[in-house]
Amino acid sequence: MRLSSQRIVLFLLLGFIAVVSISVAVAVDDKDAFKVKNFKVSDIPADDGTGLMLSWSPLPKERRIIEYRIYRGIDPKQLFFLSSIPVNVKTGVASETMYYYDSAPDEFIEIKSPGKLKAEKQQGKDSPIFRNPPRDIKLLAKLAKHFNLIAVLDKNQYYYRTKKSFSADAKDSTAYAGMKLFQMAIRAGLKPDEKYYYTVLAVDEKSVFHPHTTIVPGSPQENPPDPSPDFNVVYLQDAQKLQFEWDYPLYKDDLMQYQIVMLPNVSNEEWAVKKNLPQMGGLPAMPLTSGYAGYSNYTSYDAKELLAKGMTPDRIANSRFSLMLVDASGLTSLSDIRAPKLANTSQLPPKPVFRVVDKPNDKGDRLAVIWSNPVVLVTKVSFTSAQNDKMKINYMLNANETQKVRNIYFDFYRKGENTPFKTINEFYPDNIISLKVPAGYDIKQGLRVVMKLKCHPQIEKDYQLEQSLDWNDQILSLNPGNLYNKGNNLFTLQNVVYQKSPASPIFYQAKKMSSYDSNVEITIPYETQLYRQISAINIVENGILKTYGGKEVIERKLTDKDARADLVLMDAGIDLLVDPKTNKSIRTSLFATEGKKEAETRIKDATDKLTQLKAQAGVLTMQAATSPEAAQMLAKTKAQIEDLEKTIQTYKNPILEKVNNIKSDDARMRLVARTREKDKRRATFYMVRTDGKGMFVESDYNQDKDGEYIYNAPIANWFDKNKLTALFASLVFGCMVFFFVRKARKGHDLYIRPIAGIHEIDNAIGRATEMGRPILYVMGSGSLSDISIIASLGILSQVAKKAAEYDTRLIVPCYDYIVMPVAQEIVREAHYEAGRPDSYDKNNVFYLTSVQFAYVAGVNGIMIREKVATNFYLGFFAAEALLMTETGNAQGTIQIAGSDAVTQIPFFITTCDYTLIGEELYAASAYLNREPMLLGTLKAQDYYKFLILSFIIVGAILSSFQVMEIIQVFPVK
Amino acid sequence: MKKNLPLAIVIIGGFVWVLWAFIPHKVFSDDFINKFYLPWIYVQAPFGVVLGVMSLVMMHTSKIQRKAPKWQYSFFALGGLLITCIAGFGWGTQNGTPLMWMFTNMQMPMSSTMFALLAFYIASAAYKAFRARSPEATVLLLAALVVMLAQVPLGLKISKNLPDISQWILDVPNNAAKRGILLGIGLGGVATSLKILLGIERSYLGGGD
Repeated sequence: MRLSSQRIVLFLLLGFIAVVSISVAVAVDDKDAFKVKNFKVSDIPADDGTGLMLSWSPLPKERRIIEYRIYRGIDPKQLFFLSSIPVNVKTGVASETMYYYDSAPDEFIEIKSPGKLKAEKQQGKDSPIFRNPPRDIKLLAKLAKHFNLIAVLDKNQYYYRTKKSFSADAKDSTAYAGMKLFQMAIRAGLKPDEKYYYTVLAVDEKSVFHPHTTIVPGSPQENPPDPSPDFNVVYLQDAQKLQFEWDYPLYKDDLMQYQIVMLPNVSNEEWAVKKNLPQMGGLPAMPLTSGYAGYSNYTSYDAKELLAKGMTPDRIANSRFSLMLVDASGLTSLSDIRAPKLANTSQLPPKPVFRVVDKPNDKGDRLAVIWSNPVVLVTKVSFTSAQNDKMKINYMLNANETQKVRNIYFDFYRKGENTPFKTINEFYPDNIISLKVPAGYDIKQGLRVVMKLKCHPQIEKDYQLEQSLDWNDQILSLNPGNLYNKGNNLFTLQNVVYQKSPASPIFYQAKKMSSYDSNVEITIPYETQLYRQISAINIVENGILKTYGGKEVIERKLTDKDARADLVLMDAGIDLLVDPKTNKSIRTSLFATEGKKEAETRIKDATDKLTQLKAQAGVLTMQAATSPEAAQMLAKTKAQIEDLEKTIQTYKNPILEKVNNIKSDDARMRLVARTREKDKRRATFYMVRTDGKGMFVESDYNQDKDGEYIYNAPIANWFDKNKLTALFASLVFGCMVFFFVRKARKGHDLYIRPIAGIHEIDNAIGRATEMGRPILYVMGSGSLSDISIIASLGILSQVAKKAAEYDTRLIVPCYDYIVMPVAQEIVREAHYEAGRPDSYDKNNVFYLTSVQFAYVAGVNGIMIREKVATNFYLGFFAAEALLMTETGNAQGTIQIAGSDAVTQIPFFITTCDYTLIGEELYAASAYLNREPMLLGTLKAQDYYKFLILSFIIVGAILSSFQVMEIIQVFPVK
Repeated sequence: MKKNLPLAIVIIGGFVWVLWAFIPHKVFSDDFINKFYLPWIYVQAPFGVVLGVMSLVMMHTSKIQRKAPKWQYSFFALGGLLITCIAGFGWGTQNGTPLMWMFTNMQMPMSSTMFALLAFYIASAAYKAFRARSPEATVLLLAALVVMLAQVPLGLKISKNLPDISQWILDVPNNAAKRGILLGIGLGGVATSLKILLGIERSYLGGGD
């Protein structure tokens, strides 16, 4: 074939098309390679219909991804950034699928949110994805009905900065608390059956935002709850009592009720089929007991009631039981059936007895629930000799601030013996003891240790804990076994603490602790933020008030009572306190008029109804003698009357009346705040000791003789008693300073030991003067809050004065911009004092940089360029110290250093001519100017150091003889 | 007045911190210190930055004007300042912005280079320290030899007791000396603080009446 020019052109054209096609294909493939694949959105099973699960396949680690960013919206054309999942760029994601659960109200609008709608980076002009939802109330109003919006407010903003607002809905006359959007952060949760759209994109280590994946919709659905994963039944035969204990499923937020069902002896297979059928497939199920779900996870039932119904103990023992959980929508789940474990009361753990104490020395937000004496247990044994005859034993001591342990006595026994071969008195609990095994004893037989404690306040003398140390062939050492107290294995028990506030009708689980904990700290925090459901959003446009949030936007003309601003509306009701006589919670409004009106309305309504019920009760009383139904009705009516009387009494509470008599909203809210915050910060407790399998025992409730709960409130302390020694020591030191300053002022000659480095400062300045070269003064990388920098500024003053006298240039490069003006002022003043104001050049004291190694580069550059003769390194130094001093050393300068950075002192000693170690730096200023006031403090410091040394020596000697009083006077930290 | 007012501010401010150390009460620690007193710190920082930047600009401008030795470098310093400011104000400080690019690709490698030099300087400093010029230096040399050998497998070959001896040197004499210095520093710190609180030490206030 002849290669004509036409053919050449054709070939070139074909080649060009091929190259372009391949390039485009590669580019498309490359673009797609960073797109997340298999992105799915599905409903979270067994939840309350407010959660969706997102899943996708992560990109391979070669793509160098650093995060996956997730976007959500109610419209596929507008999705906002929701959250990001960071990824380790080197390891990538090991699993095949990544998950994100959009199930809890997350941060929607917060302080960092943009002011206006901002498109996401690198996503093109028409991209539907945006950064965080903006702080734009109009946009929020449009989204409001699709999300469950919660406002997070500073309590003071809510108390004092709300505006009385009304909905545009004429039927709704409620006064709402209106606030501007910038006054709050907003969290958004999903709503059941709403449609949401999601997408995800990957960001690589170069911060490239790759294209997002296909936008996928999802809709959360309300599901029946999962059954309990662990349900246990115990039949206490001697007490004729049934005990039930269970675990809750993962999603338990919307659980409302539990019910225990008694069933005949059916097989698991039969139950698995019938439990899903209507009426349980006709099984004769008997509901035994029920209660609030989600708060406690145990209950008991008096089986004598069953016996009274004709059931025999054998039949109870052969019955089966199931736990039914009911959620807020009435959907239910039934657990697997369980046969009761047969037991007697004597096998139960000992009944817990506890006390509640205030935690001392705090700001008033901690209580301690204490149920046991301090507990000590061996945690580890390690041999320290090749013959395995010497060992170190680590132990753990569980006590709290109110349980002071003075001595721990460890009695070590050979296995099978009743006489200890060694007793160790641990008079300073440092969590480690040493033990020598008796000669000839085979350690593989193991040991037994009995631990007794001496405490303050004193504990019962027979309190002891026992543990066996058994040989383990795998670790070739002794392994600490179970811990026993009076025959009870503490390792198998749990102590569960329940808590209740006055406003709550039920106890909830506060903490679950192991039995070798002796106490638990309960924090009752001060309220700083309030969470309020957003009821609606008001937008004002051209004299029209529009209310968003419901199914439709409602509009009306603005009236005088309306706030003329775009506001977020919330409930204005606030809980005030629990009436101590009726135990009923009192609520009031943020606004004085509404609060007063509400109390009056409640009293009036209750009084009207009371009158009706009393009349009704009169009629029923006459009929009750002849009609049992009327008697029943009468009892109900009397209960209602009692309740209404309580309501009236509650709303005549003197504090509420006092609150409602205050006309100013702010003054009224100050009293409301004081009252409610004090009332809310109280709690009562009780405990349950359990093996987690139904063998539990409850403590008594903390009640007075009338059966009223005793509430404990933490107390705020004005003085931290742990610091009493520190305060005393500071005062002693202060007195010593005064004494020596006075002495110095009177003209007494105070001897201060000579410090070579300080003596040489004059010579170093003199050398620079002789050579006609500048002096470099470096204060290191500290700020004005470092004591070393303050001490260094004192020395700078002296050095600058001398340098000014000799007319030698002093260069001070500063690391901190706050230090710079101070240094400038000091050097300027020194020149004035030396009578050389003309030689002061502001540009010699300058700011260099606040970046550590850039500062080094700058200082080293100055050192070389300016050919300095003397270097002072006085202040705070880190890794930069050696870099600077070695350069100075190479330049042949005379170098004087001083720092309180212990790690840098060796470098200074090695490379500098003179070094001020630690406190010598602080003393230098006083030493140089010989001012009596400063010398007095120096002298006091020396004597005080001697005092401390005396305490150390005396304390060491006394504690060697087990006299611990001196050590105990000083705080541990 | 020029000196007394700042002195009064320092003394009052200092005593507030002393009280903070002893008073845990919520009214003082939360309401006063955290919500009222500490936010004042945020106010002072911007003024400091302005002063720092002004000083830097003035010094380098003056250098350029005076044609001081190596004045050409001042252009780099001022240029760097300007470019960083433009990058920071123009595109923000988040990942992926020019400022972060400069930080990652310019400042970080340069800082790492400076830090890497430390290894050579340590070697040179160690050489100086280990010259047995005096009995003290000989003790230092021996102690250092033991500690260094204990860190490498060769040490264990020489003697199985070497790691124990090394640990003892670190735990006992070394720790004792360190604690002695720290004790002095602690006391010196208290003394200096007291001097400032009582108005005895005023050097940090600079000059003026």
